Amino acid sequence: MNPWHERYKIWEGTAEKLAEDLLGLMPRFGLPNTDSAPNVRLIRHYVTVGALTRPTRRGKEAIFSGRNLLEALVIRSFLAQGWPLQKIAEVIRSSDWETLAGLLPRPANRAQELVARFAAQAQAPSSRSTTSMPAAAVTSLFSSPTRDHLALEGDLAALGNLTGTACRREVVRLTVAPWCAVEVDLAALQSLTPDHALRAGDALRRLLVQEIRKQGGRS
Amino acid sequence: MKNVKIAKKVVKKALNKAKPATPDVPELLLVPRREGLRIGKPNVLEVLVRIPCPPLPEGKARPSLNLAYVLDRSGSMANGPLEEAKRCTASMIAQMGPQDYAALVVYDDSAKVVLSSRAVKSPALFAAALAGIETAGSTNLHEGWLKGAHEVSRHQESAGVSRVILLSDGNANQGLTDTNAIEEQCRQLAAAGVTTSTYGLGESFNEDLMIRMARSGGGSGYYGQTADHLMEPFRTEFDLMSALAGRAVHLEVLPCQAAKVRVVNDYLSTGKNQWLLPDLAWGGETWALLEVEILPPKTFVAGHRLEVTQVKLGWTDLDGKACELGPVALEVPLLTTACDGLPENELVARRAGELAAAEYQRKAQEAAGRQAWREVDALLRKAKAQAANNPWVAEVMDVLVALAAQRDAANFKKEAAYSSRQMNSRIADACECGEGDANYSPLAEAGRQSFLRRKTYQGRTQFQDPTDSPQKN
Repeated sequence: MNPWHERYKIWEGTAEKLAEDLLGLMPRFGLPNTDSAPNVRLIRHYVTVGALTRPTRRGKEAIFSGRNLLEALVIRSFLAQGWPLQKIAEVIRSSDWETLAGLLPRPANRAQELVARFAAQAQAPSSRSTTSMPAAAVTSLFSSPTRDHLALEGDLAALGNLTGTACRREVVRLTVAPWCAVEVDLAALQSLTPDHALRAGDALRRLLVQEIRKQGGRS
Repeated sequence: MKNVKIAKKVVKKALNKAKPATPDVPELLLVPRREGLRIGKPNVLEVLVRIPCPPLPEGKARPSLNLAYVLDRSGSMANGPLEEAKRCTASMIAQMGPQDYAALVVYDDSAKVVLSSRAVKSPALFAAALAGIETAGSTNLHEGWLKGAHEVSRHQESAGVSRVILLSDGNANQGLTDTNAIEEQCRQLAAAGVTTSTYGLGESFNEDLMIRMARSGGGSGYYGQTADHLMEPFRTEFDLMSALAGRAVHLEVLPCQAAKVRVVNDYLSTGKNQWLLPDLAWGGETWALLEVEILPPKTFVAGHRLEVTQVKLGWTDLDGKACELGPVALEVPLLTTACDGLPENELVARRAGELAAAEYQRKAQEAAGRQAWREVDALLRKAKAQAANNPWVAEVMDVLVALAAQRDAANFKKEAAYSSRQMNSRIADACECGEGDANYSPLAEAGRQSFLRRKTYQGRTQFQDPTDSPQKN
């Protein structure tokens, strides 16, 4: 059986067509388009920063190739994982077709699409829609089952982590005193309100009192 | 025997197209119950469609398996059943290898992937994960099944058989519980290559849901009266998956002029005159019984042959390749006298008897649900009379009569439902066509491949392997 990407080797089209086909392919790879849906302007931006290889000229028209489509999918996939565009451009420039295809999660097959649809229906039993599917549901169901990912799952499982994923969290560590440090989730910190900060302080005070009592001290 | 020879001759003459090109593909045969149609009168002719597969070709490896074991760990599974389910799962995983994929999913109020789908390189890893599973909560069966399907779908392209193995001892009471909706999802997923088999355990599970999931999900349905009876169906299913030759088997009937055709088996209809048959297995025979209504015109000349029906078969082999056999046509001679006196083909008559008994069992199951025990007794008497020449069906009826005498509707309904299902859709032994096969002996059955054996008690172990006995702690 030919790999899924073989058929795109002969693909070509304008920036408009590239944006359209990219948008159509993204759900198959579990890529959300909630932040910035692909459009002609975005495609031109990717070309300007060097993430997309420059298209060829045919008269006045810029014609993109199948490689451009693959590059665009890799860009969206890496952006979704939090990579900066400049770094993605470096990776793309040094990769051939096969390497680029290998960087993508495997596309969803028919059964995966059905499972995603059923999961979405189960989450919203009142809506009996058979076509719409929340991007979040799709993303969580098709979490990058590449070969590397599977190998990682095996290693984690051997270490006793049976969830198959490593939990990644960026935290800010605030050392209040040599004997006390507080770790705060970076993402949470960015949206923390003063009211929540006060509440956290109160909770911390209460927890400390409880711990002191447990240790037999006076509070 | 004469009839069989004539029918074979007719089939051979009419249907060179259906002749397999190589010895390792199935055959498609049509056998009429009686070799004749009466001119100018309405005729109803039973025709057996036989699809015997040769034994597993030498040197051919079993297909790679891609399975998700979905275990019910609701509170009712405590004190034994869950431990036995884990032991059965571990036993199946022990038979898998690095070419296979497996996942472990548990469900109670919600479902959880214990071990995501991965190549079975280290059964010890699965054993450790199984050991950590404990009972809790209620039964969100649909979410468990869906998580299992998600795991299986990840490696669907890499495996010959992709299947969710769902075990439950209860009723779906959390999440999606609509039987019709779940059944439809199973059907759609089976069409996309991920099949579903179900294992019911004990008295409280919903046999209607479990059987319908297996039927529409293109897998098998089993049950065990207690956890001690789970290992045999687990082993049977593993043997069946290891011997699979084709899936998504579609039979299309092309009736001739003025003929009306129906499939007597309880197979899913997938379109006009199209039915979904059980899988093809090496050494097994998938079959269907057709009932053809035909009115041969008076203008026909006695002694001439009339084409009764044409059938063709399509399936997907385990490499994902679409395969076809046929069309195959059946011609039978026209007679001026009544056909009732013509000798019957013994195999066709036997299979028709099994299907009639299956229908009585289905009706008895419904009657037991209404606590109409007199009706149950009467139906079982009729089924037994039907089985006068079929010792296997007669023994099955003895089991059901004994169960009915206990007036325990939950137990009776389960046995009747699964027994009816087996008679309707069992894969027969490809060698089970001689007159001697009408006799039934457990010893002879034990000599067959496990998935070809005719059991007399679906909920109990009958052909125990020495390694199957439950562990006593």
